[in-house]
Amino acid sequence: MMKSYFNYKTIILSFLVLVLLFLTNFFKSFLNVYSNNLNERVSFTYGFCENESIGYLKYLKREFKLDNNPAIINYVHTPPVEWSIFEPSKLNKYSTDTILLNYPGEIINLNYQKKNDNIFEISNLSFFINKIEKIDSILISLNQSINLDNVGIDLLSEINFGKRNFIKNFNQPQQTNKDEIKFEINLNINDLYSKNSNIAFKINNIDNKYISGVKILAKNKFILENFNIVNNHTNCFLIRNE
Amino acid sequence: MSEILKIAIIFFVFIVFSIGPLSIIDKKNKQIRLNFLNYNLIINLNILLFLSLINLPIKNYQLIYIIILILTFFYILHLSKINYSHIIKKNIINFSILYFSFFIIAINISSNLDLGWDAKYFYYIKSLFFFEGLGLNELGDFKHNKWHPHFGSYLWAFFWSLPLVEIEYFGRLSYVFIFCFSIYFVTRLPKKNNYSLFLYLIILIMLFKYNRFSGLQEILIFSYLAIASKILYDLDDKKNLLDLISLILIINLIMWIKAEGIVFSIIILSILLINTNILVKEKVFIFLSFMIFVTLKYNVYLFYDFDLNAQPYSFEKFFSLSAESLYYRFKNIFIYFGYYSLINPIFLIGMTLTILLNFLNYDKILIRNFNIYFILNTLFIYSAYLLRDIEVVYSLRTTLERVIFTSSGFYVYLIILFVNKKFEKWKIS
Repeated sequence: MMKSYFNYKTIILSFLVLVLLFLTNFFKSFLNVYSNNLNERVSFTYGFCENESIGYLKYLKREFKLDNNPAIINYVHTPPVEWSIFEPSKLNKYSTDTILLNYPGEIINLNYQKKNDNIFEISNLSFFINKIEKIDSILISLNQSINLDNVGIDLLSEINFGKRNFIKNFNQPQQTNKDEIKFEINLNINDLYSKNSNIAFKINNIDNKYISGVKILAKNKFILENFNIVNNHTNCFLIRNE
Repeated sequence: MSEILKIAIIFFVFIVFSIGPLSIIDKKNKQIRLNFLNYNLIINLNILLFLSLINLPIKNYQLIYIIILILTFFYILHLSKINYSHIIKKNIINFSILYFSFFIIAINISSNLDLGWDAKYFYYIKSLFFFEGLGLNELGDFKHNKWHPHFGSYLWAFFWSLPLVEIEYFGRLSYVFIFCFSIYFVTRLPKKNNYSLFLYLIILIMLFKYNRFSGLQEILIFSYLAIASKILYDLDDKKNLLDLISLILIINLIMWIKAEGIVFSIIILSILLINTNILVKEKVFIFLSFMIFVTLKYNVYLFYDFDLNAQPYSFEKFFSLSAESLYYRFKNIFIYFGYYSLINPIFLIGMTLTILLNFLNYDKILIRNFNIYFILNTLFIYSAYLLRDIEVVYSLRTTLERVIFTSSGFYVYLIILFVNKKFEKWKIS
């Protein structure tokens, strides 16, 4: 009797089912679904007021009467989040509401990637298009004082067939203090973005070993005191045009 | 009702789409005919596609449709006068494996929930339109509607909006069902039940990744390509009108899932037209059907004012490229194509086998079908990225992995056949 039930085919099949169970984290997933409701699992997956902040968006939709489909500005680069509270019947209707997620304050420190030869790349310009008007300045922190003659920054285009083209040069650094220099660049982002999906800055005539940090700064389009704040949770805000 | 109970039940709703309108019972052998489960699924999906085109809100017909399918099934079962218990006994292990593999994957999806980038960007939102009873008329106003056709999202909304369910991810579970069914279908070898089940589970283990079910549509085209590959091979062995029709219907479905679906449809069509076992009048019928489906799609796009030319391809820009730029594109496509092929075991093994087949003494049908697929698919991948009007490396990095995965669906059956020939002396059955 035992033999007929536990032959090698059954053992192989059971083994394969077990592999599938472990590969899919079945028991952990089962426990998660069993012990947490859908809203809780959504918050675990996307965060409440962090990263995509879907938990906060769903909370706003539940607790407030949102005006049509509000614009959502997320200052952390994540996949789109509009889907979470989108209402198709209110498509393309003007909304007086705006939701700010992971709001960084009035000044935004733009993320960049450091490449070779003192090249600093802003890889996704479109991300900033609804958050800033222009890139205001670049701050370079130094380990020691250096001669500022010939120090400059080249603005380079997106990569076209493996190389970047020169767009513009900035050559008037201001010494803000002993260890820091500043370039006022005032670059309008709309002028750049239409032609480039990414840009790079190349710092000339400063040895890499003297640079301790670089900040690319821009003024936020959304200054909270200009709006009516309807709800706030840490760095997430629901604001309304007054 | 708890979510877990709903997940346990939803499989039976999906299976309803496979049991009617054609009879699935083989009276002579007292068996369930797998081919007919497949025909039914494809027919029903085409009917849903048609209903989506005439803008009928899902809720208006959803329940009636499901009830009609169930009643048809029981009526046919009643007419066939066969012993139910015999059929149940004969199929219980196969059914259990299919059911539990679906359940295991479904639990993973219900726990994970994260949607893919493109799903958040437009697939989910499109499905929300259908969920809320809107249709193609309204969808035309959504600016990201242009990227891909709507059918995958429609299917998502159809099962999402089931009464007593109405949970988003249940729509995506229909993709899991189609995927599991397609793998079950292609791994099924006559008179080798246990061996087929081993292969089914092994392929499932090789292919499972949560991301595939995160609302992205590649898994659907992958599944239909796998099914098409098997039917195309079987056509030479035993030609059947229903097989031909189901291939034409698969061609139609693929066109409505993703923009590149039309290319895969043309590849299947080419393999069909080159098949020497198909009569000229049948080829004319196949070609005319294809043209009717393409014309239908074109006219639906015109009628609803959808963007016909939204994909970022430019012949003008391509012809103005310098030799250096062309080389740069070519080189990068080669590098990324190589890399993504290496990390996808099905694609890698499938391509290698296709090349090897030409040097082995294998059957000619296999060589012909897979050679055509390999050549046209590779040409498609190269031309798609050469002509794309987006920075090529960015484009390759963000999309090629999924294109390779989609393409690999066609190779699943080749691997099954090869493994079967190689290991048939094991005689596990």
